[in-house]
Amino acid sequence: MTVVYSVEGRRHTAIEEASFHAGDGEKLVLLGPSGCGKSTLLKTVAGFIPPDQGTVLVDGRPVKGPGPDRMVVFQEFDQLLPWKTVHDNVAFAVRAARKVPAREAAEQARRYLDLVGLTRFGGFYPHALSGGMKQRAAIARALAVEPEILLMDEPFGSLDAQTRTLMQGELLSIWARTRKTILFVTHSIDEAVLLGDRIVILTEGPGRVKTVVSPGEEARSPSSARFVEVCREVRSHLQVAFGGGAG
Amino acid sequence: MMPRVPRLAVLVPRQLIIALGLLAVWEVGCRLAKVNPLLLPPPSAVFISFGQLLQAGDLLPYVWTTFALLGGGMLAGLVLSLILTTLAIISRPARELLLTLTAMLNPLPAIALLPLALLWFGLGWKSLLFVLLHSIVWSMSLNLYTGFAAVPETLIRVGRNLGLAGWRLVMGIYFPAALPYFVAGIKLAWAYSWRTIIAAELVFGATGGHGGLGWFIYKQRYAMETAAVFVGLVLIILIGLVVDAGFREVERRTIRRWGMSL
Repeated sequence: MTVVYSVEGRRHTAIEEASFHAGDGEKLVLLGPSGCGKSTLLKTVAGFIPPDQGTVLVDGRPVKGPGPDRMVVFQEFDQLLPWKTVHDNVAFAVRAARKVPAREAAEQARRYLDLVGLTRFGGFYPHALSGGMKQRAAIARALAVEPEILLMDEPFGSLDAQTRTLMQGELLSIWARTRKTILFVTHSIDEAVLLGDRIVILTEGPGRVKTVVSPGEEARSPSSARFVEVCREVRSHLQVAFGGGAG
Repeated sequence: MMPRVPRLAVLVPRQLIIALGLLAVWEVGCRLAKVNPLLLPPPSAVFISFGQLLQAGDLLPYVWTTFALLGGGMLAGLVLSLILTTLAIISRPARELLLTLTAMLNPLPAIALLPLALLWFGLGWKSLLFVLLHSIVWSMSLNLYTGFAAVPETLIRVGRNLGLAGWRLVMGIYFPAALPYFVAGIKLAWAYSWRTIIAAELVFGATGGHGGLGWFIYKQRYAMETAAVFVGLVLIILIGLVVDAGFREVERRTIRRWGMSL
């Protein structure tokens, strides 16, 4: 897939021939520093930006535009509709995407707010929630629509380090219960190793796939030797990719 | 949790006490200085006149005339602004035209157009409506346009992600997201048009036999019923206060509650 941007009249190739595949129920992480086009890649999969060459296939069908089969969790805290309560945010999404009766949507909203631990906060308006809770609500909203794939665009990027660690653990436990296919964009090596079944390392703009790393189950704990080892391996790939010819 | 917005009930008493104090100063001052009541009647005389006018049923038709025209003007202005804003969003030339017109005409006080309006539409409600529309449409369109332009890209993407498009995207995302600007626009339109219509009625009087509040004041001055002139002024203040309180209540239940205040 190739994505060419036009910024102030100048064409800028954000992604050049990035090709990868996410298996059913897999957590695939796109890793690279800012400016490597990983967010553009995710927006292309989401259908917000059409690729100039190549196609995005979901279950073999080409993506033609945005759709609820690929729900996005954004980095921004303001992705919740401020005029709706947390519960209504989720229920609204379910009804907009699947046209189910209101009662069924409410039921679904409760179930997914339970899943992310926001049962008690369904009646709150988003502005009353902390950043971490907002992102949890956004995850609940995305999952409640029951998409084929969850697209996460640095969803924990604006959180403080402590909350981020907490949320990473929760995402793993949510995934363990839903087995949803996840495409996760991040620039954090730790996060990538912790969450990813496979890590797609991208080179600097125009983005290309540099290599793919599979951390394996032993790397799930940040204190394990395997985690440290994979982090080092990923970092060395990134240094080759970004450090120029110096190394 | 929710930001504490003082309710009207909490705000009123202290301001009420101040207002009563000012009235007392006015009353005592008039009596002690023996002011000519034709120039400045004491508040007691205004109060009595108020009661008499209400009893005679003389007051409400004037209020009604003003409100009917104002309501019609606001509604027509809102529809016109929505059309202009929609055009400005879909077409670039229309956008530039609207922004230029707004920049040019917004600083022009509506009442300054009254002589022209009289020339074009004659004495009557059409002229009043013309100046009313002028006082509403430009500020309203500008607010609506700014509101739509300020909808966060993320929220639009959330809507499109859910498969919303066209009218459903406008009603589901754009409109509620721009609500703070709509409310601001309506408040401004009300403030402008309320001043404009009273002033226009003063200048030109009755429309088709029935006059509004401005005309009422003018007529009472002509008859040297100074207390009744004050009744008209007090009524204008009271109506303004009630409408403002209404706006505050709407804001408290919507954009403030949602943390969306500008």
